[in-house]
Amino acid sequence: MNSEFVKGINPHNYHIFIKAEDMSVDEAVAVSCYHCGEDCDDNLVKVEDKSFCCVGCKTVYEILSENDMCTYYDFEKNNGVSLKAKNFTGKYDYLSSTEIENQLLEFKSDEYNKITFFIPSVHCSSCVWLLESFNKVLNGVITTRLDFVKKRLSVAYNPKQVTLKEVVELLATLGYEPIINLESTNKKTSKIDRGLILRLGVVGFCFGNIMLLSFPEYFNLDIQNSVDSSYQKFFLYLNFVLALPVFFYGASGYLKGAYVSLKENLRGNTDVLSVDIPIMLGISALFIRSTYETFAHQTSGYWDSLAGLVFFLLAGKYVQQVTFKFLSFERDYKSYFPLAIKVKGQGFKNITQLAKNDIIEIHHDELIPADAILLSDVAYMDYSFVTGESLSIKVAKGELVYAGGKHQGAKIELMVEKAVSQSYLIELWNNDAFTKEKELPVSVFSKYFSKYFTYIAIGVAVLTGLYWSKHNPELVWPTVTAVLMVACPCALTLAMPFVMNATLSIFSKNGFFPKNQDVVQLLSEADAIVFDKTGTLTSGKSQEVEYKGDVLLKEEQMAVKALVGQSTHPLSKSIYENLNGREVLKVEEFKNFSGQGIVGRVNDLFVRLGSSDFLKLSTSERVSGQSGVEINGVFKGFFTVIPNLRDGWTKVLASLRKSYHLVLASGDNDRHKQTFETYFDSTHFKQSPQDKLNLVKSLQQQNHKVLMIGDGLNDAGALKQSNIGIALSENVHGFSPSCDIIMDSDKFSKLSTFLEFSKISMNTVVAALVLSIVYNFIGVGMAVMGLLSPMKAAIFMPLSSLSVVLFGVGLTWVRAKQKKLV
Amino acid sequence: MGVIVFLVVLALVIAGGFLISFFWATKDGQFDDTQTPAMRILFEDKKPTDNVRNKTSNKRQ
Repeated sequence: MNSEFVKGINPHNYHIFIKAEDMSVDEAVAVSCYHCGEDCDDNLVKVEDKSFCCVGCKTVYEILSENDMCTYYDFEKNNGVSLKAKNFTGKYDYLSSTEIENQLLEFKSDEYNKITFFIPSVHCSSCVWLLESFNKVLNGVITTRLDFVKKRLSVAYNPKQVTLKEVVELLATLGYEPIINLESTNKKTSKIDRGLILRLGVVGFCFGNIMLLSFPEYFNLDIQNSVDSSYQKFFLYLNFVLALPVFFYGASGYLKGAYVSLKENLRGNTDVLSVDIPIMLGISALFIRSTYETFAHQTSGYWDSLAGLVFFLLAGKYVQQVTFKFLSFERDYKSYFPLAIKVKGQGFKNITQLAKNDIIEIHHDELIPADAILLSDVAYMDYSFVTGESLSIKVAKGELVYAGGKHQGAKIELMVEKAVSQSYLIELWNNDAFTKEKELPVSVFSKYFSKYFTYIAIGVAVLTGLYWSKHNPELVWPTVTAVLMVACPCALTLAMPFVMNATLSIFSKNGFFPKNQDVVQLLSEADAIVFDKTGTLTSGKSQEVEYKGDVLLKEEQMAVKALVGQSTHPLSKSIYENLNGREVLKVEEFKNFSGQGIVGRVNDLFVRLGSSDFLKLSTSERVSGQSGVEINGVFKGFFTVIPNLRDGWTKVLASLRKSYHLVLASGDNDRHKQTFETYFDSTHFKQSPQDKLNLVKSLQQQNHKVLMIGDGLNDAGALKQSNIGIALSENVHGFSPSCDIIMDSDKFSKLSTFLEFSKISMNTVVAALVLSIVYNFIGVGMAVMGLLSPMKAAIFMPLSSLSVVLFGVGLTWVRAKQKKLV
Repeated sequence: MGVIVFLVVLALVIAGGFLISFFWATKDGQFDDTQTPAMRILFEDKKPTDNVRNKTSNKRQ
């Protein structure tokens, strides 16, 4: 009856977008969860006077209060990790297998086992406190230590009292689910290189002391005083001793670098002269000249200049190395795959050991580890991760399922067809793109200056020598060495690292994380951009569903919601998430016609949902690929999944189009082609991961510097092949394929600003380089005329370096402010 | 003369001691994680309440 009435007042087709805000069912004001702070809507749980949003959060509270650890809630309010929709039963069963355990443990003995977990949900000081007090919660845990930045927790436990499985399960229950995947078995921890910081320490120590011992000289305190001048000698020799580690330890990297570059040049392997060569000339000139002065004349050398120079150079190198340690840029398929899987009749097996004909069980939302044949009746595979195709694919019994697909629905059984390493998906990793290193940019300095700079410096030194040998031979030696000393491109080499460091920190404040400084330069050189669609232009979050047809009354919407709640079909799930309503209605006479539709009765409404064929619609009403609704025998309308596009994507593309060649490469089918076509120079649909890689390659062959933006494993090949790959990620700490830049997906609308800013940064570097060249001219001018006294050098050289650095960094920040990035 | 020389050398030796301790700390991994210790230092050990004390004493019995 109702339906007839509604139809009466809305005779024409009616469009509504079903969104959470639109149709909220009135209920009491939402209470936020005491543990995680989320709204307690669906099933509020109360303990004492505290409310929780789900049983999981309540359990955590109970565990904590039982162990008197409620201090956890004192640090920050509602700090817990939401546990909604998490179920760990059976998920970690594989950890009871000794073989798997041995692959994970770092140290194993009878009473002491050690393991390190990666826990991405660590986010605040409460986490540190709880995880480091973990031994109070679980008996048998000896110590726990958390590295907050890297989000790594190392746990030592007594295997006689507690098992690895119990440790992991309790961590997961508390909301700190460790990530255990194939990569976790790779235990060799990369050795941290602390050489530079040690060098910096030693050189800093020597620099400070040399400065101190040189002070008397600056003020000419030794005049005509035999006692003072004997001090002077003592200080000189002491300076010489202190300068030895500076030259032989601190600067050894530059000396070696120069030697290697010279050797390569003489052999004809390269015609680029490394920056290390002029630096080596300068440092050596300083050292030799100072040693000569000290021992031959007992007059002050340039020890302070030498130590200061090396100190600044190392500081620049240190700044250059600062990167985002908490992010991982080098991931391959191993990070995505589970570690072990249950094989029928064989217990748990590491997935790399899966063999043909092994029978495996896959639960809802689990990844298929190897190409396999479906033994169960039907399964829905979500390949969006591998191919970018956003709709799930129905697989029937006996059909092949590809590795990388995510299974949606009830438990299924599969028979393995190929070993993991031979799977269709993994084969992509055998491509050349994955084995060769990406080409590094030629640093601005080497590109524009290095070669000429070295030749000019040597040329000027020679000319100066010739000039003075005619006019005043005594001055040949001091002027020639002075020219080489002052021509040392210290300020030049400092400009790039410091400007880039400022740029990286500005980028990171905006959710844009380049791998290192070279990447910023590559970014500024890009001239073509390839976009992925699913997950990049569209949001990876739950799909939006559009309803077209006669308006649905509240009761009808709730009936539909109750019905789709019974089904595991992905479209049903999208409809379920997009329809609002908190009451759970009972569905009677529910029937699921696999692959066609579902029917059921909710109160007095008989609802049928399914394809046009299933609803037996007349030809005029048909729309293919969508899900129709029929209530009490009356056809109502269709539900369609619409791409959930990111905010401001049209603006981004429009502004990029002016200066870049834009290409769309989507693994999805072309049903939304018209939406995108106008924004791109070319669009490609139904692209396999290999196709995407080839597309990038062909653009490169047309002399484009290609920037690839993607998110999933299906873009991994293209990201690797491209000159620069940006991985978009909902959670930057989570997983993203191997790439050069990780970008927070919420910041997509700023993409064009980021690209523009990378160019601005490079221009700033060039400006700073020009300034330091000016300084070099002045310095060399003084040196040629023989006016560079040790004291002038000691003031002039650090001053020029500092002012270049301050200028470059300051300009970068000013420009960032103009672009509203800070 | 002697006094100054003695003092300068002594100062260098003391500073050198600190340099060695810097080496030690670095090699020990002191500067590998600079953020977590800053948070850790703020935690206080609360005295166990009766509830927990009973629990632990029960265990002992």
